Amino acid sequence: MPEHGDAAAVAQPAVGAREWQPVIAAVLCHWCTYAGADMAGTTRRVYPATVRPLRVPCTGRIDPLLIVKAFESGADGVLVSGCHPGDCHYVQGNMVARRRFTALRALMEFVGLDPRRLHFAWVSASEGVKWSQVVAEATAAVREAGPFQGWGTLGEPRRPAVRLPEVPAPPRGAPRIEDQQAVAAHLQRLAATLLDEGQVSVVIGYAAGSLDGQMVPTFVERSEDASKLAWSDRCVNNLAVYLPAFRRQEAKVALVVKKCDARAVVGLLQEAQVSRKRVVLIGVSCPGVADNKGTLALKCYACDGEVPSLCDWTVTPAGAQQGAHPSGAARAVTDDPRDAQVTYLASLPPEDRRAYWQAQFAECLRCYGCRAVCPMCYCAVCVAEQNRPQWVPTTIDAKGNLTWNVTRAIHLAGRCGGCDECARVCPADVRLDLLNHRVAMEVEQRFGYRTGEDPSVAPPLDTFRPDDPQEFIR
Amino acid sequence: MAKIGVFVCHCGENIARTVKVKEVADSARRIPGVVFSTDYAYCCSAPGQKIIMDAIRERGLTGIVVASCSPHLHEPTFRRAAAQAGLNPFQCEMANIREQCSWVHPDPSEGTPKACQIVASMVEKVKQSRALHPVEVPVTRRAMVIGGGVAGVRAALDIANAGHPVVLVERETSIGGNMARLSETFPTLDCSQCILTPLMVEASRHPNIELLTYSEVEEVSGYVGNFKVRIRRKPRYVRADVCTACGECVKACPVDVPNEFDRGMAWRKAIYIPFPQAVPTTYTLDASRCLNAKSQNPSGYRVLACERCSDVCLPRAIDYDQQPEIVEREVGAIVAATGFQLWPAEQGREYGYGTHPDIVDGLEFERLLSASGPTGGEVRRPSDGKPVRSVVMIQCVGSRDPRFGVPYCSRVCCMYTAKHALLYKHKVPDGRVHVFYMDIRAGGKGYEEFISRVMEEERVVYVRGRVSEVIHRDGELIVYGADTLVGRAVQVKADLVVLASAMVPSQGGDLARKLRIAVDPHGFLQEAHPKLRPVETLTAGVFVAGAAQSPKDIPDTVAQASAAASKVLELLSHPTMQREPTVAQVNEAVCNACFDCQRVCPYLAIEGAEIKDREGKVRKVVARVNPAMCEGCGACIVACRPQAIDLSGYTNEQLFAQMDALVPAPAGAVVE
Amino acid sequence: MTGWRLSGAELTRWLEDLLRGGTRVIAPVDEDGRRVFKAVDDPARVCLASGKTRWSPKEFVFPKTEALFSYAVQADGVTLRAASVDAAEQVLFGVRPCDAAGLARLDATFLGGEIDPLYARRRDLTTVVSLGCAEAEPECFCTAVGGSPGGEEGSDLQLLPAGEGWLVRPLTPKGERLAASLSTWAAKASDEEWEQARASVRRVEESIRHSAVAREWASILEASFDSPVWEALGRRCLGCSICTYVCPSCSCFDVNDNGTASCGERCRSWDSCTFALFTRQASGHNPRPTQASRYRQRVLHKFAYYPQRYEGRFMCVGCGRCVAMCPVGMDIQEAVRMAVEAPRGSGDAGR
Repeated sequence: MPEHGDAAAVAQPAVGAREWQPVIAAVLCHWCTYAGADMAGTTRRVYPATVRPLRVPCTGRIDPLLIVKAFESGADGVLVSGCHPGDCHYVQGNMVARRRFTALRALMEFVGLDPRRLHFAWVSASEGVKWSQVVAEATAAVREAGPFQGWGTLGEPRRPAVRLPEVPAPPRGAPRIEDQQAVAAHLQRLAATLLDEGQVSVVIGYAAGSLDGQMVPTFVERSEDASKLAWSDRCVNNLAVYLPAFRRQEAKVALVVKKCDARAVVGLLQEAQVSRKRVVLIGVSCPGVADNKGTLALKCYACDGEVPSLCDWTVTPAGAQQGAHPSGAARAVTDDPRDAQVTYLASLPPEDRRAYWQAQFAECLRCYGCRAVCPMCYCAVCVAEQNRPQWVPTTIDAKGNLTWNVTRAIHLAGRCGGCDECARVCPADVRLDLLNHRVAMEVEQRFGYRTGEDPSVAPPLDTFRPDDPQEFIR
Repeated sequence: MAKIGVFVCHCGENIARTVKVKEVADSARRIPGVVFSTDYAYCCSAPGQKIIMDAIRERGLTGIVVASCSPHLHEPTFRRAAAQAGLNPFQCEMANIREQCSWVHPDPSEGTPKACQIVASMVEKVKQSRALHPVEVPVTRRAMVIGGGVAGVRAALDIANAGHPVVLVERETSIGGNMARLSETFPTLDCSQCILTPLMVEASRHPNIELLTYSEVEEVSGYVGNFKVRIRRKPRYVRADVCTACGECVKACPVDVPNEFDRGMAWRKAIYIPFPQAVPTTYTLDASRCLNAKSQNPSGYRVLACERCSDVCLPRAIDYDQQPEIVEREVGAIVAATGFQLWPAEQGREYGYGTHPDIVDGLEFERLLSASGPTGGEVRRPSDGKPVRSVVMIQCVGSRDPRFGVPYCSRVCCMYTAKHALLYKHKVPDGRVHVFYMDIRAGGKGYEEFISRVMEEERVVYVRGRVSEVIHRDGELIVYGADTLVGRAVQVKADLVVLASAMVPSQGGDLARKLRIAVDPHGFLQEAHPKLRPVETLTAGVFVAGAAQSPKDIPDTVAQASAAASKVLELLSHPTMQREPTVAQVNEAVCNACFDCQRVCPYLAIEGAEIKDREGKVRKVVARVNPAMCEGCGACIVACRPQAIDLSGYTNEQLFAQMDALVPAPAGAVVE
Repeated sequence: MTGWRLSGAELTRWLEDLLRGGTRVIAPVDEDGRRVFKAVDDPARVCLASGKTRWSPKEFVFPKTEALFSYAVQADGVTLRAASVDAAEQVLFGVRPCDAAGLARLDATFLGGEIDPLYARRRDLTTVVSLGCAEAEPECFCTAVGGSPGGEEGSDLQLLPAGEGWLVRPLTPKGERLAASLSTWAAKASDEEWEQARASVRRVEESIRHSAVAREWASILEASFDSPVWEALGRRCLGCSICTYVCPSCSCFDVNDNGTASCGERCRSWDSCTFALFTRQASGHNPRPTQASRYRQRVLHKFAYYPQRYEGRFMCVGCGRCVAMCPVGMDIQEAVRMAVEAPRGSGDAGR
């Protein structure tokens, strides 16, 4: 690319060696900020020539991917501006956008983008003065941050200098074999009954895999096969991933779910990917599952494993009961270690954090294992598979990988239930769990929304409150 | 293959002084796809436009970029010129190098590269532009007005007079609404019925107005220009085509019912007409009170317990077996004018409403004042019929009360309280009137003068202070209040207490949901914009008028009704309407039907659609945009993760290409 | 059997010599419990303990992303410039026999008919030092497909574990060149030492309890194309490409332009037949519309189509990574067995 130059470079007249000037891509809404910028012009207010305006009908039209693209294209900074909340020409586009910007900003900062590079403002059509001030302030901040070095690393990725804090000891020991076997027996009986009575035509649960101790998803369609259903702390898969495939079928499905899996079922219900009346949810009271190293998975530290209220059955070592019931097992829970790890990363200077994530993403193979196991990644055609436009570069390099992982994290904002399956299956051990956890924390703190609890509410990024926090917007 | 033309305007000195326009034109010429690039002094002038049009024709340009001023100023100008030259107007874009470049960057060495970049970015956008054609939506040139009060009647008449058929739906047995209950209206003291009845009669006789009274809207489907409304016509049990309104049935009916029109202060019969000037004049049999309603034989045969009205009805108009009827009407526009009711004053417990018949609200007092009311216009106590020597009127009952009532001001109470005081004094010259008030709001034409007259000429006592309690003791009503101007508590004995209760929106019917329009936190129908679009709603084709939208007096109601009618006429003025084509569209092959797009759309422009195979089996559900309702904001585009929906005129490809060209490639960028 | 014997320290010394001499050495390193092949500058980082790397070293001859040529559309026409292959001499050190056999499969694909010049250039510059296995991992099944923990296919220089040290033997001229310095100071390995090392290999072979996949099965598998067993097997598959990308012999790639309409690079990047869009045509028609059909394709490619083309050799080298790393535990061996048995059996879904 640099050998031939691109259209923009071609269009630029040759300039001699001169002091670096930041380039700030400014995405403006037509009705307010664009008109406000026009007013700055009409009143001849001088401001730095660093912004390059891009006009859209509404800030609601601004996809986070466009902002990512700006940095990918080489912008040193991005400025997004639109109508004040309550004044949107299209009623509410800016307030919906405000939530998206909140999530994007948290994510970008988390992966190491210098916060001095990303600016948001509300500038009305009459605020020509404010526009010139906003531009001046953004320019000063970007200038301080320096030229943007590019979205991905150049050359061999550096070894990570960051060491995450040690994970404390798990709050509980391994579950008892007898309990696991009892649960398996109850699952087998329940499945056989459901199939025999014709209540469902398939039970999706777990069965032994071909490697020692491995548990894999299984589909039981005949009651005589129900005996292969099993249960242990290796039942890691989130079986909700299989639900969207049944959406158009008449068949009723029974699904074995843990508490973390059920959050994904709630998400699928919110997004009409599953018909509630055609799914029977068999909740298993779960003492926790093992991670790849064999110790308690991080997500289980803070989880009591109780069967969520939307389940149709509760299975414990004592038996299978209709409805959702407490298990009676007192499980020790502690703080979620992911919180501490995220907090630690967030506390680092941006360049250290950036180095950490660049090293992580450099290893990514783009196998899309993360996408494949995620119940919320159900799109028939993923954005990564589209080329008009090519939002996600197809190249398996640091730049393409970063864009992919940021894109997926943004698409999961407010939707990820934290089952961490993505992190478990990643061949390169990329800490996708931390990436999604950071965004989930932001959504919870800012909007008071915890994913996977109530199927009747709208997903948080589809809605807004007039008083949503906006201290980051000038 | 794209063939783009770039026209860089000097705008006299406005651009050329601080941006080297020839350089900009040169750099544009080097962009792949640009086949023509030039500069000119004034592109918007006639010769300037001619250059553009000639270039389009002679070079077969597939898109143009005019690098000059802001699109806010001249986009229509250049798009019209493009269209005249045979190029689709949406393939013409403007690069703003004046307001956002030359005028704000005095140094040409800074402004020029920026201008080049802006032009390059718009060239890339235009390369991705498609020809767009306005969306033509057929319009059913009939309107519906829901609500037969003064707002509804006025709107219906305006539309009907303009030559379009109107369906006027009213849930009561007669049109007229609340205004028909008033005695006289402020500030002119016109007799309310006298000014209203001619309108009501005109509406009933108008060849273009179909009057459906005793009817309610059941369901509304469709969209602007193409609504289908199902209306439930409740059975009157009287055949409207035959009833002569002779009134013999009333004399024969044995059942007495408190008359709702008089707020229960007088009686009617089970078969009745609500008031003498009711329109239509057809009588109605109230099935909930008629003795026959209870006499269904268990074996299913209907046994009539009482046929007295039918026996005396010469035209044989009574039909006990009449059934509700569902009718459907297709209309292009709907006006919601459902009016108001009064705040349930019993919620203001200190005022004692509902505990004593002599504590009445404003509308009840209107009936007491009315010549056709329960007391024939004499002001008498509802409890014992005795004359009223002392009346206390309390303003702001429920209004301006964020804690126990409603926070807003109901706008009319100061005026009608003054009117009540004046009318009472005219009927009872030596009667005493005390008005407890917080402020006097009299902003209309002649209003302040009216208040002054009442205060000064009529010698009504205005006490600035609130009432803490109204009690009844030993057959008297005592009002405890404060006089804040003097700084003392006061007590007034009253024969009658009139509460100026707040105006709240008329309840029942769930109309807002059926029309898919919003209501504000108080239940008033929500206008599209409080200042600039006060009679439209965000649902295209649905308009609001009158007190249903917010408390107001009759002049404003009538004005708003005519305003709504004018909007309706705008809509109905052509057999088809044209909508801007910058609307969203769904790629049904990619859509997952998660409906995030639908959730973020403020205009309800997105619905689900089933895709069926030849056997009628549903193969897929997808989202679908109604281009007649889409306003082109693009919120749905961002909500869609797999990019299954796109916005014409601001497509993802366009924005992507623009952004790519807006920013120079980073030095040393390498693909590993 | 000639060759040399090296202690651990001597191996380190040899690596230091190579590095000092400017040779690019790519060897397994342990990064936070994740073992992968990386270019090393310090022999202490090299990890030769039992176990495989997460994925094969094929990326060093077949990069994940590779530029083919760059293009620029100017007003006066289009310019194309072939990409220069930024390859240097490299030693892939510590490659397990299954991975080396995988390289041999890639050679057949890329150098067999039409020569892929980019691959050829890198492969030419690559010397493979294979590392025999002292232990099999639970997922390993190289012996079932004609391989061995001491296999020589694809290797230029063989290392076999011998007690605390190693036996080294060049297998090709490249290997001899690489081992040239050893001949000046390393101790020669005796025949007995080789015999012991072989015996160790045999013990490891026996520890792999998977029975052989018979060569005749290739045609049986092909005939199982329409068997319902594939539907049952494939429904669990989620359509990621972990199996493909970690696999030593998988070589599919997609070609995309990376840039704008006016300039950019045409690149090839790893792709997988397991992806839903792999065979989707421009019309929108997809001849492999279900995940089951795609899973079947992968298995048959490894065990039916490839053997038919390449004299009965399986494309699968039995490293077992796909089994260990598959998110849902798909077992390709099990799939083969079930498909082979299915026409005779009941078509039971099993798992």
